[in-house]
Amino acid sequence: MVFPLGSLESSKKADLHETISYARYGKILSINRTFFFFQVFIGIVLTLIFLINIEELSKLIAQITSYILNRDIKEGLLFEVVRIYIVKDMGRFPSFYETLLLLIISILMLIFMKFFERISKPLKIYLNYFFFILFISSLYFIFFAYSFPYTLDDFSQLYMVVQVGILSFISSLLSVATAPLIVKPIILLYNLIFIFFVLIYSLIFGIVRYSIFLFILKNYSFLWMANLFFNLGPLLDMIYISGFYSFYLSLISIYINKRLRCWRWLF
Amino acid sequence: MLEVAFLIVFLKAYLVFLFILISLYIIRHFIFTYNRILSEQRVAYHDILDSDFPTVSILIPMHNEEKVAEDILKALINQEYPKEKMEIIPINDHSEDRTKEILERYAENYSFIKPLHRLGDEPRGKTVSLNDALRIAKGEIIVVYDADYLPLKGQIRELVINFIDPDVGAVMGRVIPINTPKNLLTRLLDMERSGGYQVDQQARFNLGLIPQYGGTVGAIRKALLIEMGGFDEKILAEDTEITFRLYINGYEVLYNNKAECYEESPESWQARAKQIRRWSRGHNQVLFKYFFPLWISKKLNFWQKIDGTLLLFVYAVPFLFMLGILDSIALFFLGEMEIFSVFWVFLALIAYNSFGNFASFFQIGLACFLDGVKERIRLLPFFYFIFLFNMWCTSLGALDALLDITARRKPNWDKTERFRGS
Repeated sequence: MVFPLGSLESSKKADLHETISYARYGKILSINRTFFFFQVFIGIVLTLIFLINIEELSKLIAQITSYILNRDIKEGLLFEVVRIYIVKDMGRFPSFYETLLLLIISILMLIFMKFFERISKPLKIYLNYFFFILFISSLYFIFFAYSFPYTLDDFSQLYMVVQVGILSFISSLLSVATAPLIVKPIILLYNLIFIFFVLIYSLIFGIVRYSIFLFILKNYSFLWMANLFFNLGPLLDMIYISGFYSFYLSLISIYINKRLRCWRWLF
Repeated sequence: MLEVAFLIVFLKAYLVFLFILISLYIIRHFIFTYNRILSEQRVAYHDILDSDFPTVSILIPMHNEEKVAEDILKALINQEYPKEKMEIIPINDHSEDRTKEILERYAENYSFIKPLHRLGDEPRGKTVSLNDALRIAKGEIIVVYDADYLPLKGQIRELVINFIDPDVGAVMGRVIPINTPKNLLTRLLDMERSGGYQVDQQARFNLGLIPQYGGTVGAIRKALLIEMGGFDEKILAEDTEITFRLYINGYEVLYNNKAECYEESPESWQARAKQIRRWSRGHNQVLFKYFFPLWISKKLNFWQKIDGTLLLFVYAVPFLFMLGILDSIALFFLGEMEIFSVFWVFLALIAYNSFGNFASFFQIGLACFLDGVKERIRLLPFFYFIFLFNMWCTSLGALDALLDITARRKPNWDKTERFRGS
């Protein structure tokens, strides 16, 4: 049956466009290449500005964290070339009984995970990963506690440089990821606001996470360091970055998918 | 002490190897996504008008498919393709449910439905069934569907018309899940499928690389298939195997993004885990079989060889990555996390980490965007958990494949559970 679209009222035509999407094959975005390259350029420039100012950025993060934790900051030298600032604090080694208790808990949890069917498989695999690292860490501290190769300063330095590194690359990463969406000049502005928002969030997140990490390592011991590093480290940044990106992309999708002129068809 | 020092060098060297390998995949993700969203697209021969259609045999392997058998038969009966030029061969492979009755009932009413019943001592499995059906098939073109698939009315024509080009050995259509709103898993699988077809397959086709024949919603020349010895019965991923056999013999696989077919995605994590493990096992068998022939072949160009190699390793990489995580944990406790003590290399590692972790989110996100998905794109961060899940299941499959080759085991076909009507 052919719908006589010409005879429909315009409001009904609009309704139909709400329900009938444009064909999903053979279409590409009709982007503005000048704005595309301009945005990528801005992203790269921002990354370079951040990288040049690693020292100041680390100082800002360390100062706010030290204010939250009521500690002092100190200067460190990474790879003998990069001066960074970290929070001055002392970590704690776990006691033997504390380690033994965590070892038993991690073993019991790994066994429990094997037989507990009510947790969905992906969550189970994630928890297994968490308790596996806890198990290895506990085992290590039972046998080689005083050979543990890191101090809180080492951890802080590593954390700081990774955090500032991620902060630096967010602008180029997101500009590369959102530049293909510039089908109208206004989207360039939206993109830049979005990138700026994620940068601010990342800065705040980096500070809060650093405070929590230091609190854990000081009050709950170095035994948790491996888990903090492998489970809540840079991968966690990717979760919130992809979270914001997906939310933003869905908004742009709602905006663009209704507009015929944003697309080019190839047949 | 020398042993420990050697171990540390080895562990670090492995991470460097992994860094290089995964960087290639990251670059590939970005190239494919950009190509799909911004570049000119290559389209299949969709606008050819021809009244002289070739004869087609449609093969549907079935093992206990009473939940879905009728639906696919109805969808195929409704195809806009001359019925005198098509035959449907549903292969009842040792079914213990009502599959046989359903097929017989349809065969009585439609002369072009010719069921093949495989019973008794005959070995069970998809590839063995397909080879049996191939012996009785009369069509010039073989089209294969899994039993849970629902092709749209014009699909057979959309696939078959492309064989007018003599260089085309096989044609692959696009798979779209029909049960997407069912639960979180099906929603995520729909997004993953978008990434795989809308971006990955189409970009490979655009760039003249190696689009994959997927084993279902695909068509292949019968004469060519018979000349090449039919389906390899020792391999679980017969689709990937055929893809590489075709390319090594100088034929190409054409991807038709327009030829859409609906499928039923697994609705439970258990079923999905089994499916991925089987895919990984089969795909890695193909890796062992075709890695060297791919590079020796004179029928492929350099970029096809590169793409083919990356495609062959797709299901081995998660296993290598898992070893990389264990490697990193070992280096962490050995106090050797600073693999490179040079600042700019360390920064490169962070850039790699940022772009690398984001690459698949980028590909899937933009694929969904092209598909017109709106609110559901917001589920993207859940792929972090899927990543761990996939890594685990794929690694088990890779280990299965390793054991197959070392212990000369013959793998058994393990069918994906159906959920329709439940």
